[in-house]
Amino acid sequence: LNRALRIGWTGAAAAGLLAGGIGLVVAVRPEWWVGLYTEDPAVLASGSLYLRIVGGMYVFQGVGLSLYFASQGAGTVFWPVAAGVLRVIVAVGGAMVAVLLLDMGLKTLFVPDGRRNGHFRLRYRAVDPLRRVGQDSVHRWQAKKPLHRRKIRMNHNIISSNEVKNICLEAGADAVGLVEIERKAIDTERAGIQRVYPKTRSIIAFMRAANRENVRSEARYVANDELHRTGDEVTEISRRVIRQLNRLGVRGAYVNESWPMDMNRWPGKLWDVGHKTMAVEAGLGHMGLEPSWFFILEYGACVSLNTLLIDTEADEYDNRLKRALASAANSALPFARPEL
Amino acid sequence: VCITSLVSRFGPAALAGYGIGARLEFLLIPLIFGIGAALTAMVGVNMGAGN
Repeated sequence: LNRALRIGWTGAAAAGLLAGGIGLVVAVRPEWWVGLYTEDPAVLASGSLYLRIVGGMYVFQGVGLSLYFASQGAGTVFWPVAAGVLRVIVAVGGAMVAVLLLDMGLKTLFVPDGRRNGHFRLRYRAVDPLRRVGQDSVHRWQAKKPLHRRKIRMNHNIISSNEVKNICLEAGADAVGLVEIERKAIDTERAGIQRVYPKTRSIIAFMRAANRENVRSEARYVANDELHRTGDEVTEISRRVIRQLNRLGVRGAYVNESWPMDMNRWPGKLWDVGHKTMAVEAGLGHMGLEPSWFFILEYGACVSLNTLLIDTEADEYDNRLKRALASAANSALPFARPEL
Repeated sequence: VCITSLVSRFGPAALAGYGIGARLEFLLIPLIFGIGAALTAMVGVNMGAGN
């Protein structure tokens, strides 16, 4: 019976190597398999966890199943079948005890937090169908009809900065600029940005001007109403821009325009993303003589700002305006600040 | 079936992740069947021949 035994073990080894090899690969790099099906971070996370645990055991599946076949050839199927039954009892029974009685399992492993999200990010090859460098800046997105039909994978694109800006201007922004997430000058805001949207790669800062004469009016209700309306518009613009970017395969979140403070964090930093910091870095305008005062040369200080966080790199980013211009603007402004 | 219903308690994302992972096993099975079917025949012949 020597030869039969040898055939059995050789076959088992071959099947074990085959299954085990595949299992090892997906245990180390589960995103290679799970990423074929999904980009959803939660699904990626649970699928990856599953393969990390189970992948190393595939070798036993290969060995076990092929030995079962060998046993069929040998005419002794009792023990393989018994082992199969035992396996089901252990797996299902163990899982039921763990999940139903002990309340363990995925739940404890998948508490959503930002650091974990980054862990399962897919790494695609760098193909960038969105890239259109040197594009005419007056290009309008509406003119290109098939945009909303294009299906593009997330996260590996580079979007044209001009295109983003045009989308914002079309949606009603008066000025817009882009900042990259790595910039040193936004170090103070990065944690907050990542709290709002962990996948942020680029930051869009935009501005919508209020009607200055309303804001400067002695009648407080006249000024207040204008500020509130402008704030509503800014939110509406933010939502429209994000939706249009979605159609281009870009995801993002917008930050609250009007009251972005979280009072639970008193006395720490109450807000996540400082709109003024972003607007200055994006080259929209300058900080005034008082740190609470932000202004733009063409529009003065009666403006409303917001910040959009998107998951895609841009081909170009903006820089802060030259300081010389800022001091010139200070003296050139026809008014100092709204009287409160 | 039992495992799937247990996983579904953790929500659709977990269920989808498990389904995607388990799919790979279903793909492995025909590969092992290929080797195994040959083993059945070869072991059977050698048993019969008294090897």
